[in-house]
Amino acid sequence: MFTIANISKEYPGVKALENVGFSINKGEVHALVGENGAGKSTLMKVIMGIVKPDNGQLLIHDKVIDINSPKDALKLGISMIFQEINLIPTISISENIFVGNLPGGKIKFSIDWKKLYLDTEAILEKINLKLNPNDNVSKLSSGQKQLIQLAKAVVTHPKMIIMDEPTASLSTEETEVLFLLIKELNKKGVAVIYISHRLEEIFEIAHRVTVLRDGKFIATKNVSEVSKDELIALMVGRYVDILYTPKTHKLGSTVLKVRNLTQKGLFQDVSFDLKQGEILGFYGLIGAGRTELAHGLFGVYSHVEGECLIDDKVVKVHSPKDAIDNGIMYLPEERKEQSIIPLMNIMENLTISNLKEYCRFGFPDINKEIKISNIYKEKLNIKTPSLKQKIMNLSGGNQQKVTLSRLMVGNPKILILDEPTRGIDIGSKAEIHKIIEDLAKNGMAVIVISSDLPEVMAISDNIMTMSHGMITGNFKNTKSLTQEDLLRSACVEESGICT
Amino acid sequence: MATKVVKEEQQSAKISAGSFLKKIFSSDESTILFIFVGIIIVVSILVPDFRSSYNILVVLRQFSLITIVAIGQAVVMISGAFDLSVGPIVALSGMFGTHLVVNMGFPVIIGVILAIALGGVCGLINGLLVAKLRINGIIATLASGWIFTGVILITTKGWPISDFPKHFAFIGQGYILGLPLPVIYMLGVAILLSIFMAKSRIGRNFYAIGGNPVAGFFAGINVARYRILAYVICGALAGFAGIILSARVGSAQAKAAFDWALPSVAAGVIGGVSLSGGKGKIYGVLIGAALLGIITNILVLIHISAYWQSLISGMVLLSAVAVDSYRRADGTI
Repeated sequence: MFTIANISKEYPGVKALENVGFSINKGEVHALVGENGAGKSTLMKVIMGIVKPDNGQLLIHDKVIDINSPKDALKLGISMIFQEINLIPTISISENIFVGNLPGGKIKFSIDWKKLYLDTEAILEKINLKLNPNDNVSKLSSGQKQLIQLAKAVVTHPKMIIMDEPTASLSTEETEVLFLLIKELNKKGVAVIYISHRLEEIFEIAHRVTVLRDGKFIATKNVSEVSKDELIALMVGRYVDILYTPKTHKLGSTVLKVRNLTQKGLFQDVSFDLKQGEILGFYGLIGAGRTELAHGLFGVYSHVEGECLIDDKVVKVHSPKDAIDNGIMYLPEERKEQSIIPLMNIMENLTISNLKEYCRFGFPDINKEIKISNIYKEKLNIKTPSLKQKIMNLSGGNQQKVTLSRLMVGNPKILILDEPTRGIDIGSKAEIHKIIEDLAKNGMAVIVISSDLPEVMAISDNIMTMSHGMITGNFKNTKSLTQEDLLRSACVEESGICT
Repeated sequence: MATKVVKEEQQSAKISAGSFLKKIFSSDESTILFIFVGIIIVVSILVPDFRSSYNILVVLRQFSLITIVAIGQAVVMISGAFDLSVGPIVALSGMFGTHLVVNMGFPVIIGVILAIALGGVCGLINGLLVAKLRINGIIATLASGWIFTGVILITTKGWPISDFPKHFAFIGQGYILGLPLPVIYMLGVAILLSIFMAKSRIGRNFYAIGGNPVAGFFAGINVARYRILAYVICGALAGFAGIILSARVGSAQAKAAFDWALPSVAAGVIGGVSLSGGKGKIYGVLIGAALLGIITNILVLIHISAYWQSLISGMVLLSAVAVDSYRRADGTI
């Protein structure tokens, strides 16, 4: 039905797309995969008319079409759900869903508010959200917002919907709702282009999958005829034989003791021990309080109840700076919003937390900074032509390696990593797992918060599950553990202190 | 291999003359620098009066004090905020320092130091309002500016101070080595602040909290303390400009520098300082202020009515910002 023919796009110095072509059938879910920088986003921007290709055509039913703006694309029945939320926070849910095609009333330019309300109610029911259509969008969780965006795309009655990492902020239940909706759309003949780093999802929902690598078309396969390993090999151009590196580290003495840590409404009575060389996984659904707990340990809240002991000494942290001075480092969940300083270069981003150590009389010694940056560039295989490159010009995986280096240069005792591989391509993901393993081998105590079940299970020595701000499970031996055990433990509904 | 990379990077760190030029040509400030140099060359050729040393010194002296204020403003802007109270701080500190010297007989140097200190205190108040009470910087400093003006009007009942002793007037009107003193101050402040912002740890952290305050916080920077410090630096520079201005014009007035806030922002923006923080160079501010400063002068020399000055300044500001937005445009809205 929809054909992409020989699309090329060149930016100064980079061939973003090189003769890419494949077609999408009516009513299918067509997954698009590739590492970061493979050209997926550029291709989608071409389809939506945001980027003009140097060469090539788009065809619907073998007829060449001309798309110069997102408006043209919408007119042709193509809509896109972006990874970043782009709803208007100050207006109601119903107005957000129908923005651009609000139902008209009897008088010209007026709005039929009743119809708007009822239509919105109907669509909300379909996506399983129990919300009032008149509520403001600003109060919703990011998962709910993502589903609202989906509703917004669906009400335009598109022939094809492009979804860019739609499940990145969805909980397990919300993901199921999404998949049900996709299947229903398929029945009506709507095609879906599905972009995701989560291969499990592709095997669950997609019919066919197209692989891009370095801006080139690699292959289109029927999902039923390809294995996960094959797919990964196509994406990275080599076999990543061990996705999860084997554990060789050994546990030492206890370095961190947390006792009854409580922050009202966020987490309650959290107690656990952490040993040298231990990788402790924290699993839970979105909103379970894992990030909040990490913030509590890192001094984000100026005061928390309960006790933290490092090397058997009570420590009080009132700010991230206190935490860093006490040997705790934290990698925030949102790389773009909370980790990187986009306009600063790699070196400056790398030394920012420990800049004092590289200073002479308050002036940073650039040579010293370059030296340490180069060490980490080699060690973590950060791909960049120069350390003076602005960090915003790097791929997500490389940015994450820089922020990991930032934590490592201070040689902390305890590392807290919050979703360290979210939104990162498979190749870099394996490298980051290797880095974490190496850190543990060198005696660092590491807490890994992750919503990626296979990841948590593969890299952790011990796993804690959280739900509604409380610890609901503590799994010592991860070998005999199944995904179901963890999920059940993470879904425990008790106490209800936080809702 | 690894050691080779290290060596290359280290060499590039030592700035040779060649790489220095390359740096200027490729920097974000290059566009405005070329436009500025272009205008200077064209005007120098077409209007011989412009390049007379007398004229150049007059122009330089005219914009030197507002440039000092604009540099302070740039420090605040780079750290991600604004200070709309710089004008009233200039007036308040100028009035205070002048009062100490002229009416109370303090030595000039003490007057200057205390004027700077009062400016710093005003900045401290602004910083506390923004960083601790979390009031939006524009509103906080708009309000504090009115309050500072109010303090002057209430204490002086609107009376200016004049009839200065010669040794006090000298710090604003004197010359050293043929250069007007305010111009020397401007160059001194520009050089010091350039080094401070580009090379010091504190300067680096200003860029960090302006570029992404949340990331700065998680990286362990005390964002509130740096925000306050930026306002203190800005206030202190405004205080210094205040007492010099008073000495230069020969009277301290409540409404001196009343409308300097927006031009000080504009000078920075023309010179490449980002309105959203995290970006900008002090020498860019210098060029921006100079560009605004020479407009009136050029108009006078080519016998165009001074009534045109405002219109042309507006167009210069718009073009500078438009060029910058155009260069950053990526096709989306």
